[in-house]
Amino acid sequence: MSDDINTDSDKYLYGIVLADSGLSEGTSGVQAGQLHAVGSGRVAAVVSDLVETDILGTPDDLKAHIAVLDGLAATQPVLPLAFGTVIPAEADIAGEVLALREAEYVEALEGLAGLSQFTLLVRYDRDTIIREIILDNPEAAELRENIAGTDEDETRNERIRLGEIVVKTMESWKTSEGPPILNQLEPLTADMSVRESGQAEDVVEVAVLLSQESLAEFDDTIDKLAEANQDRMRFRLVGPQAPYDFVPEM
Amino acid sequence: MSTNTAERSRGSYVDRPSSSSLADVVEIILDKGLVIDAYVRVSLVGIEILTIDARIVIASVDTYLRFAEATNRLDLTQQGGRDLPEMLGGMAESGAKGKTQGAVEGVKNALTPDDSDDEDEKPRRRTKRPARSSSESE
Repeated sequence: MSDDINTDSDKYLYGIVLADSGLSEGTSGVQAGQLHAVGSGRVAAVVSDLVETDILGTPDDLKAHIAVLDGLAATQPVLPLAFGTVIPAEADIAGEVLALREAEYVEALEGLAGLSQFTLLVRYDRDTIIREIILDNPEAAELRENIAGTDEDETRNERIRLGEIVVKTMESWKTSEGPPILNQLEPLTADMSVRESGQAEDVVEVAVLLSQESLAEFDDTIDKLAEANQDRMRFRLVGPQAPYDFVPEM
Repeated sequence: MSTNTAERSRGSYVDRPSSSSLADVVEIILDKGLVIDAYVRVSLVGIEILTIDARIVIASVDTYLRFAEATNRLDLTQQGGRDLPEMLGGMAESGAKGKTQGAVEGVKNALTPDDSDDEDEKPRRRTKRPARSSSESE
């Protein structure tokens, strides 16, 4: 699978796949490198040559890393490696990376067969939620009146207090509104991993592992949840993806 | 495992992007994936710092000021409207209403200094390092 691989350059590692699964033609990776599979026994590492290790980490590199792994995951189980995994040119990938843990990798890959990750982000509609908070909280309403027509320097303290009320209220509301959403989804998933909230408006950010059979029902459930909450929340579903959130500890 | 895109695009209440945006993948990039021990991970300058920064910025003064300004601009008489066009403009570009502003966007800006600085007018986050100290500043 890898006869033409360049032995003089560092290798960027994307993930580990089963050895007999093959790579799709024409996919290019980080720094436009051609993808190769380096096999050892029943597993293979998907790699590409790295031209300039020093400048790794550009937005294009990040996108390429994800695109390669999501592309692989569309046709076969894959264990995604952490972004930025680079193996020096002189290292023996088959012997030093793969062979040592071949049995564990095979077990993990077989466990992921037929499953796809999706990521759901549910976020409050900011205008709607702020409106609710102002109507619900007299102090916030008063602060809002106080800052009207002023600039940030004039009413800095009032603004900080107002913003704090808004943020803390959202954080409080999401603790009661997030779990019911997760509870509806969880029975449909093979696994679920709730992510730490990234933004004040985030109600729920969760990665789910879905079997092909459960995909349609999951989609329907998301549609219904989004429709039921359309006035207040925005739903974003990304996938299918590589199982980034479900890589076993090893 | 490929999915029928025609089927999946039907729900009009759910944003189902055909490919991941940078904001979608930042979380993945920062701390997901198998780490091969005994091997050198290239250390990406700034990434670790940004991870911490993204997590704490919710409770920061900048975030509070941003929401205060959003509140200030809101027309309470208008229901469910898009009455903050100047604030939403940047978000529409990224494909989702009410999408990232602040932390993840901050990471994105830091990662893409040359192509996304013009899409919003949110307060510039000052560089916070070490990031932890700023979580106590509110």
